[in-house]
Amino acid sequence: MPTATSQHESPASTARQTTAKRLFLVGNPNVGKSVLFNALTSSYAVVSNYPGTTVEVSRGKLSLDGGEWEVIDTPGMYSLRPITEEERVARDLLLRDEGVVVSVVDAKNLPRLLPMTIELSLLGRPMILVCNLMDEAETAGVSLDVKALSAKLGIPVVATVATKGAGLDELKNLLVAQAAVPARRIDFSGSLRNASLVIEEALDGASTSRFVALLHLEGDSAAAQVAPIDPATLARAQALLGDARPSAVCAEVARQFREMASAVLRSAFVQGMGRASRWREKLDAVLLNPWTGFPILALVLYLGLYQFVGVFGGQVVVGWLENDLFLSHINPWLSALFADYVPWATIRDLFVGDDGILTMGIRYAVAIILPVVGSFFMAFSVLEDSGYLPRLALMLNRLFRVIGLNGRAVIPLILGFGCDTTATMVTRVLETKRERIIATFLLALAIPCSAQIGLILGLLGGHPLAMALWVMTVAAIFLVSGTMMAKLMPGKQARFFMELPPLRWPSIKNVASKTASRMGWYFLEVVPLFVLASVLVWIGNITGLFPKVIAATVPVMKALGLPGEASKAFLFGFFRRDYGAAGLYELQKAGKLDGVQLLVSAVTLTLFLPCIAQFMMMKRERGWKVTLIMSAAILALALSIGWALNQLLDLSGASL
Amino acid sequence: MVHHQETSEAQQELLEALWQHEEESRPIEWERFSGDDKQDMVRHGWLSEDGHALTAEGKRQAAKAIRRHRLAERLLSDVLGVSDLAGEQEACMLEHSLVEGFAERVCTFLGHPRFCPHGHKIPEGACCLEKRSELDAALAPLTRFRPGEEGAIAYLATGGDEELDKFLSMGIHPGDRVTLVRKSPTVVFKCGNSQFAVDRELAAGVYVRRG
Repeated sequence: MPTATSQHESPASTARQTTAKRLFLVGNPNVGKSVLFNALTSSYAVVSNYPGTTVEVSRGKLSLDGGEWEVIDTPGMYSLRPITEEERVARDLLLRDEGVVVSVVDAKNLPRLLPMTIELSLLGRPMILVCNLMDEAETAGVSLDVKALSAKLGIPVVATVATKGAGLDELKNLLVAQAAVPARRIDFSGSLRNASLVIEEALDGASTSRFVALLHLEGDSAAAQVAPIDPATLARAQALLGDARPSAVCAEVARQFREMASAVLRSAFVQGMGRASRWREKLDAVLLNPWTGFPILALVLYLGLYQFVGVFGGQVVVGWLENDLFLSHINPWLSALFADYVPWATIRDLFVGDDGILTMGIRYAVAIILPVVGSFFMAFSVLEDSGYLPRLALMLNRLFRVIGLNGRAVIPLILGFGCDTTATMVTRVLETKRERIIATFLLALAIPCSAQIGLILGLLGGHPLAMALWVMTVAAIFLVSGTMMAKLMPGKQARFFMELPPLRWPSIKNVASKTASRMGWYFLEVVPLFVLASVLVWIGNITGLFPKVIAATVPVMKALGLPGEASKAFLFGFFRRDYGAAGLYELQKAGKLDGVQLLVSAVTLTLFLPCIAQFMMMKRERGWKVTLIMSAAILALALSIGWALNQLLDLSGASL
Repeated sequence: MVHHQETSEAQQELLEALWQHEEESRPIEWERFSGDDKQDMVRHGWLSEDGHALTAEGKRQAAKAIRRHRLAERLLSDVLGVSDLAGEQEACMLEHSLVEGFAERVCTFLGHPRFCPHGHKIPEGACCLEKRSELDAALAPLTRFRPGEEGAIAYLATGGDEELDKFLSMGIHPGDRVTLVRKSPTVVFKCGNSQFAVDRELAAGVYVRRG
């Protein structure tokens, strides 16, 4: 083994030994980090044309000559000064763990995005700069001199079109060659430089000291955790900046990064005349103009949600799976099988009884829920990839401000129509705690998930007036409770600020793999709960507990003007909201509910407590206290609104 | 010289402190002000007899003083680049030299800003009320642009700090060229090769030099 190494090489090789195995993909939202992640690894991260869809850090493996890499896809961020929770997660991860930092930027917007790469370089980690979306940059008239850029920054630079795989081999070759190195050290100027030096000295020149110094000066709370310094030192540094407030320091820091970036880009980035796409600009204008935009929105909802999800997914596919597959083939076959081989009736009931794991749990999950959720996720993926959702956010911004949110909330709320559990997790893209609480509450109360919508459409299908009243009642409750929340919750209204990505043609491949991955996630989350529900019902039945609970809640049902059997549906409803609706569906098929009762139960069940999966997700995201308060409020609201609705319909003598 | 410029700086400060106390419910340190100053102001008819509240005329004078102070702060931070806290002293000095007509000129030059760098409201002057007619002023908030018009960002005068931070961290800085795309249902503007959608309130804080 050679013992002597040349001097300039040794620091880099030490870094390589400790950091060679981990790779962070870091960059702005919507620059293609997730596409890159999927192309590099065999794991899958959901990709979309919507800023901020990566809410969790995805990790995957990449095998190259010379070893395995752990690839980490971080949520998009605009700077290392986090605004949202997801950005904080990403920043803290970068501060804590060593690894190669691959900074991914949208090439056509380099002047705006390069400052963050320079900021990242302060971490002192080996880096590679990936200029992605080169095809769009070319269309926009940008010419980029990658060599000049690389020379100025002192790190390797790769130009890529990740969606087409262009440039990926070059990136992999750089990784194999361990070409990533820390970027050229940057220097601040003026009083910022002096102030930063005071803190850097106190930090003993660790590799991240300049970055940590900035955190201290910018008043970031993470600074004290990463590397605390003596308050007197901080005060001395702050005095050098004229005791400017943290926000003023941030502005100055941003300005200096910006200056450095334009110095780097002076010869490397040339903006020429773009080839403007006329149809794209026209389409954009039509989508955003309220006069044409709202009718288009209605059309999109009608075709996408009603026709595709409701009719195709909820009726055609459900009908085929439920009647032609399960009820006529699978269930009789299973019952016969169990009748032949399992002598104990109790065990038979557990698997193939009326509420059995296989005959009911799996049947509901596969035949009724999956087609609806699957078609929803597919429609949603098309909207996401086309870039329509940010435009929707913009159009609904004003409406959402009434309920204390802003256009940004469009993604969790629309996603809620697919699966409220996923949507509750996605409330992380919202900027303030206030917004996250309002959105979580509205999701739990007044946004029916696609499985529920599918079943309610089936339930109310023969009663168009009842269906119209259901839509109006739930929409009114959504608006009224949102407005109340906006008034009650402390804190100020968060402002709307969003980048509008260009309209893009959705790729069939991406839509398909995204739908598959979301359905897979859903299936893994849901099926165990269906099985659990079946088991609990079975235990409840054999111990006699379940009939007792049902009996106890019968008076509540009676107060709502519903038959006693409905209490079973509501109880099941907690295991999954849609599961409850499915219970009502059976009652309706048996002819036990009239129009008024259907409407009252559909409204109550829509508002009723979220399913257990959503409940657990609420607990995870918001904590026990908030979740329990919300649940109590929802239970009270659902039952009292159901009661009031029944009284009202009763008084008016309406028959639906 | 008919106007009341003979008031002392201490008296001006008392006026400002009282105004902030009454309009923005900020605490007031009475001990900073001498009895003589108070007496003088009562004599001017600016202070009530007990010396603890502004009269209508006093309020008018105070609003003017506050306006001068906050315009001075804006001028220092946006044009001269003096960081705001360190600029407090300078702002006070500058404020007292902004005589009536000059304050209007500064206000127009700054594009009739609505907030000081600390995020407090700047009382409107006569020039601000007339400004609606002069749509083609050299410097105007983005919301007063017409779709398709472009210019370079002069400064960001958003109400609170976090808002300002949002623009900076999205990479939108003074000096950048922007084009207004549309104003309804939400303001959309183009910067570099990207488009952004923002609330009207945020866009109203982006002051852009036309052309």
